[in-house]
Amino acid sequence: MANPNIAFESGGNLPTNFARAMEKLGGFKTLLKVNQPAVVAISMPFPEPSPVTTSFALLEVTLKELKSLNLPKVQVCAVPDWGFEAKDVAQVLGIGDFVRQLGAEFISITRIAVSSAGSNVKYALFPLISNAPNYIALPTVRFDPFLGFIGASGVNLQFLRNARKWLSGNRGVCEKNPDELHEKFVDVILGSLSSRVPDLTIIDGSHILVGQGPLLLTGGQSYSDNFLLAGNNPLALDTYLAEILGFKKDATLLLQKITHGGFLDSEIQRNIGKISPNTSGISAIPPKANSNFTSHLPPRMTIGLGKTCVLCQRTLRFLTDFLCEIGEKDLTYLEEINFLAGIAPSLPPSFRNICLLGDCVINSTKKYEFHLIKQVKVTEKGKEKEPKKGKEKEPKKGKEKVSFKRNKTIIKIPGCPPSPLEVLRGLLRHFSGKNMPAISFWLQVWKGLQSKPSTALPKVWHGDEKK
Amino acid sequence: MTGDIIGDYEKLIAQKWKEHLPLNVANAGTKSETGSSNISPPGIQSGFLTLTREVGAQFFGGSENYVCIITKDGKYYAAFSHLRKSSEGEIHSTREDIREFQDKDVKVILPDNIIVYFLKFIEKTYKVKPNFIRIIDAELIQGYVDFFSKYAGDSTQNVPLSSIVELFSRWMVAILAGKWTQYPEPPISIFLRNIASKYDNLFVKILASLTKKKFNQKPAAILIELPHGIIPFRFIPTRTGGKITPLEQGKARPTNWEDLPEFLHQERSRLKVGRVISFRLQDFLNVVKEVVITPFPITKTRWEAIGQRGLYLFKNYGETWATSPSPLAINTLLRFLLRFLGYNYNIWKFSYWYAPSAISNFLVEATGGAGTILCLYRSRIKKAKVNNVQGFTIQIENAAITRIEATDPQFVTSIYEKVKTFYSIPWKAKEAFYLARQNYPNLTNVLFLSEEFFEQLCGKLLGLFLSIHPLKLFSVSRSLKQLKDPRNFYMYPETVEFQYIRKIGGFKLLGWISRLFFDRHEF
Repeated sequence: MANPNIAFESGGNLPTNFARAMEKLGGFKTLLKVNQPAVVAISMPFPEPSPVTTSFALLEVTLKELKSLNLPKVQVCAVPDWGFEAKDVAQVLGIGDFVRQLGAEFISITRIAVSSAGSNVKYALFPLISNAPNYIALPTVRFDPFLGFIGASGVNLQFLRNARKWLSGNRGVCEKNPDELHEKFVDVILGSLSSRVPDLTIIDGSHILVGQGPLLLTGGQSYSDNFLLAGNNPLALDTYLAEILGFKKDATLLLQKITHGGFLDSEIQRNIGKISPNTSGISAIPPKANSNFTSHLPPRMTIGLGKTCVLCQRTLRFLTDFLCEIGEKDLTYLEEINFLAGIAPSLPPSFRNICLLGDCVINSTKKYEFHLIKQVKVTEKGKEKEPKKGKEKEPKKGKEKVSFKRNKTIIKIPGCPPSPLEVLRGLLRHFSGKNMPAISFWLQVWKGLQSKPSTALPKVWHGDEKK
Repeated sequence: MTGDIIGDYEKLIAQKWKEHLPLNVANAGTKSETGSSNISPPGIQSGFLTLTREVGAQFFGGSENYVCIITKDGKYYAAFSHLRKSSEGEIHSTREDIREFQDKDVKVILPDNIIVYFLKFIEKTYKVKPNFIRIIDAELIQGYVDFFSKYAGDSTQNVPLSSIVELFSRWMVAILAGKWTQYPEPPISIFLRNIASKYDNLFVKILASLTKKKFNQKPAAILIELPHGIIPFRFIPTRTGGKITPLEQGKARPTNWEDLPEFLHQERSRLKVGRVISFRLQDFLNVVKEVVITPFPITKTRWEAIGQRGLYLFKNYGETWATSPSPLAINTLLRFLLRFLGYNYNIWKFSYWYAPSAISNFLVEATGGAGTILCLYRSRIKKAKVNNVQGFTIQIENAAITRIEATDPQFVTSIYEKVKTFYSIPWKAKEAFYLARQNYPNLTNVLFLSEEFFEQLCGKLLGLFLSIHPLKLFSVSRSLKQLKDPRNFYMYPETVEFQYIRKIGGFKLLGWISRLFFDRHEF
């Protein structure tokens, strides 16, 4: 009987589940090329610190297994989210030290940048991973209210392709059909799998982030379940994981594409059916995020949406969740904010403190009336004569002078879509730190980790050597 | 029979308390008699008793219409009913026959059987439905009798804080060992049992540490406000904790809150103490009641709710609590000057509603909201002895502390032996972390704390914040610098906010505390 493509194990502790899963897959040795170096790609999202998003326990088990194979070189690589400086993030999470402690080499990218012209290399880890004889992925599973859920496939993209492709939108596409961008995004994910599929992808069920908010800090909840999923097909793993966690097969666009696009061959489908999980071992289905932005916002904060792409919606979701969870105090100080996003949104209820999120809304609302404030001044005309007796005349009105003044309360945050940090910085610039103590504090705290934009080729950092 | 006396312990204690006589179980009597125990002794000795009754009524279902079953050496021994039979409020205590349960092993006969028996028996005989049935071990009763015997006779005798803690600890141990049970079980005993098992007997440890704490040397008066009056106590600080003496009640609390400072000032002169602290007991009990109904494991939302309720008491100066002399932090002129310098410290504007979630955000950011933190607590360095270090683990799930456990001392010793010193913590912390990780695979952080840190930050700083004024800013800033000293406070891996706090100065940190934990507007 052929070995299954994916293996699901639950009930035991992590090392036991790992051993059982590898046994089902035919043994760790058979999955990898012996006497060849191996690259382990692990998610390092920040500001979600470990262990909610990065399974150190799984990394430990994997590295110990790799050590037992006596491979010539084992490298662990990680890329942070949000454009933070990888070296500092790795130090904060202690991931570099952790990897070296286990006898492997740690590599992270210091800057995300586009390479010079003429080169096909768009991401420094791309050549490393694409040329690696053994490529193991340890993805972080997170639920995103708009992009669906980011699992094995999404993490593979993160390591293989230019992040710009993922993160940037397109105004032309947004104007015609904003949903197209979502499809494009999913296509990029699927396309990344044609360039290099991990030889082995392992998912730790105790490190899944669910619920409202893309981050634990913004209302997400960590969902722990004692299971391990491993296999060599990221699409099959994502489909199966979604099934375990109570998603329908067409719940997200990625799942729809996988299911109906014929991306999974019948052999894999059959094997999934064979190793159907013992549902009694899985706790209740985790809560899923909703797409209602204003559910936790006070009524004086409004959101106006035009034709909005999924990326702008994602930023908006982050922003509102961040304000509700971290900036709870800041919200009490702010009189009102009217967020506008997308192409041609409707007019806000008030013209004060309008926040334009992204290039789309900035360009499409150039002629909107809220940019100028109408001022009417009545000029007085000389002293009024005393009315004669018997003739009561109405007092003469002064001449009305109409002038327009630029609305200084508009906050423009450029970007397509703007990065979450840019949005927070923009709000802080406008409202000042006194009015936003919590957000200003956290931005100050994260300041040291933020990388500066650079056009130079990214440097590869080999762990935080002892000073 | 000793058992008879033990069974009527409440009545005996109350009587002897009233009569100012020492109580001795051995010669207090030979037979329990039916009689009235509705004693509310007036005068200064009644302080403890009134307080005990007030708290008992709130948490254990009052002191009437219940059955108390005594066990001795693991056997059912005697039973007493305390029933209100008339409308005049008299409570009759009667020794009941426990019949077939007499001298039967507690382990053999399930408590359910004896409870059902008494429920039926009392209802049938006295036409009264008992509110609850309590089963107490004679040893525990003896402890209470000894305590009250010791301090009942002499009105001037001070009760050491350590004795009260010891009494509480005994009771906690009895709850855990099943020597004190009540049916239906009150939420407080369920809560304390859970706290003891999941949070390493945290309450008792905190109380025990208070008994060892050196307080300010000036005596203070504590006025406990009840709906029907004030119970005054004198607290005399000593080198080993302190002593508490019940005092004679003075004037009633003024109904108008504006007259409260003057009233406290008069009480201070009357009682001849340096400071008077007055608090409304009911407000505190309400918070405790809210806490004890907390289901386990305690969630993040619940932690925050409890924190909000607790901090609201602190914020509510002048109503829930007040002192004389009043804290400098409430002085308008000093507050204005502080605000002029950019520091907004105002007790009444304390962000009680936001502070718990801000702290929980810190926790999430530091630990990822899940995992285990190993705390290595070092008491004052004396020849760098290894026994100065204690270890405990804090388990965090879904951004809430779900368990606290003391670590094996040998494990801490083994870490110490390998790490060699706790002086050079930043360099050795990594080593300690990876050593500890062998025992705790889910370990996320190692936290080094020192006794000096707690003294400076938790003890001294609270006092400093209450008496803050522009010139004291330097002193507070210096205290906050304790955070920067790795010997006092260090965390590995160094989280981003920890790095930031270490980087900034004391004044900037004071500014952040003022902005995050105090509301800006004077509305």
